[in-house]
Amino acid sequence: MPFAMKLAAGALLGAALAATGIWLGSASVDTAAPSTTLATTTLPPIPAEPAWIPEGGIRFASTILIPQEIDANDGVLTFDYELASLAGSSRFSTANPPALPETWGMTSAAGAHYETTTNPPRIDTFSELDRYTQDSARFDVPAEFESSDVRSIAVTGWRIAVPMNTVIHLSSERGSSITLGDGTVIMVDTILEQRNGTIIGFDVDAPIDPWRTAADTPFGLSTTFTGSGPGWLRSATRTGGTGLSGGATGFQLMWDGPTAPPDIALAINTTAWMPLDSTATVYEGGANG
Amino acid sequence: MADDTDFSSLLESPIDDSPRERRSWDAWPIIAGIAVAALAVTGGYLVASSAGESTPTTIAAPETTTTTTTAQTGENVAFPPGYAELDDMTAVAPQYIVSGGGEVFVSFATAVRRGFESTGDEFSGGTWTLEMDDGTTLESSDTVFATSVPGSFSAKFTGTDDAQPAQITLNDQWRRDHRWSDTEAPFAGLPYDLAEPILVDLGAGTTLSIDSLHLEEDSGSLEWSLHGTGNGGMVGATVVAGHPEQPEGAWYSEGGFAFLGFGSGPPLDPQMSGTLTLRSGETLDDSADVPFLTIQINTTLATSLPVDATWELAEVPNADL
Repeated sequence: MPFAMKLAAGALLGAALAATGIWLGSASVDTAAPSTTLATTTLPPIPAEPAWIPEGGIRFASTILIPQEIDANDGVLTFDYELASLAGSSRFSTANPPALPETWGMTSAAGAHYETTTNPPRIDTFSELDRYTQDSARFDVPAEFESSDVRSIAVTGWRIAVPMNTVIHLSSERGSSITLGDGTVIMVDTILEQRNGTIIGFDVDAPIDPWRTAADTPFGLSTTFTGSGPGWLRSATRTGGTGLSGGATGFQLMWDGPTAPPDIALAINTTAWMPLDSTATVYEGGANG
Repeated sequence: MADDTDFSSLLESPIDDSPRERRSWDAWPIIAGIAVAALAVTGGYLVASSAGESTPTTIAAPETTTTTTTAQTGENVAFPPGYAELDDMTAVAPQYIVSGGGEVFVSFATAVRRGFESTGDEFSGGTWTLEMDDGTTLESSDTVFATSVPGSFSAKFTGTDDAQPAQITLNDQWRRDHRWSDTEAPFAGLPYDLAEPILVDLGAGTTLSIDSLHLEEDSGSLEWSLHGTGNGGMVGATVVAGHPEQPEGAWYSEGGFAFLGFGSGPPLDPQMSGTLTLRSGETLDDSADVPFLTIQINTTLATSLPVDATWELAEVPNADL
């Protein structure tokens, strides 16, 4: 099966799994009476050293989720947490952990169930200093809901990073294109032939999917395009215009020759974030819990 | 996807193996109960006095329930269950399998000990063997790394759709070996042509042959070929030439050629060759009183180290594409 079809199948699989997530909670209606307790609870402090699991942290594969704070306000329950990685080092710390939470469930003291989802954190939220990233899961709750009304919060679904690669082929003609299975269209846009080399520009039109380009600009880091085989000198991301969120509209390859090769072998390296249903309780308690 | 798989090992704590460590999370309901109870009276007062203000109040955990960070030395902390050590500081564990279209990707997660600092020679791939549940085996075609998720990588296999992965073994691991070397050649001025090929032992079973070198005032070219059995790497070359009539010397821009990316593709193709285009750069040396020509070679090669690591895959979640 071509890689493009794999991507499409992966997308379908992810959608199906999301639709049939194991947290089939009931309606998000809660009749808990207003409480006089304060709405915010500060969870125990995290230690300075994140390389191993901190107090209160929950490990999933090499990812550590550390609960931080619960806050109920104006119909939104916010569960703040931090993510760290067991691969926390000078080499591994400045990007995503290998697993990230996606779907969440919350049970109130009154027995109501709520669901929410979180997108991958952007890479610019990471701090090289403390090697954590912060994020929040937000549940829509009744206006009078308070943090003490929470019985438990669980991550019910994760995304697991699976680095993948493949090689596709394009003819070196302007307008030549290929459509990947996830809808991404790669098109040869410009061919600039010079005495010492040929610069080939490609347009990329990719569908919006936060997990496809997780945690960085579109095909900035999550997906790279390089020429496959000898003769390719370098590649670069082309920016400008009104491209996807990062402003990238395509990429360029430089060929070591005055004319472009008839067949462009394009190596694609990407990360598929595969969905996985697995429940981990990350918070229990509250006055009514 | 095998969603009925027991994923409990993924959720086990690495400090489960450390009897010195306390896990405080189990006590959090009590902590929260104490905190909420202790604050209920104050909260009621504040709520009443604030007449419905929605500004949340941050409450510090009572001192008696604040947990204490327990410092652990890397040497005394076991890696989590399922992780196999690649060296004293690093361990990896399979976390997901994607298969279909005749390809299998086994994704791994990395864990490093506390205090680990990169020295540039971390795990850079290797050769893997995948045993399927029908007894057949596959040899890896690649180790795929992800820039945006550097704690993760995949072993890639090609060749089956019918059987399920049962066990994976890392046969050898590749580490980065950085080397610099200088090679001198007779030189009498420009234009210049290398009289005979120069052989450079790059290490790791790889020999670089500089088959020809042509230099003019503002440009040049270097033909190269690689021979041996290396596992991949990158080579860069800088050519520096000087002559009494050109005392400032002439520096030709550094060029590089990667004969294989780390972890990518099969072992070194002994026929790999190419031409490196050189362009004159800024002057470097203003004291040349005798002709000289130096070819500076910087090499990063993948060296092979032994490893004994096998993982059972029956409990690893998987998906078909």
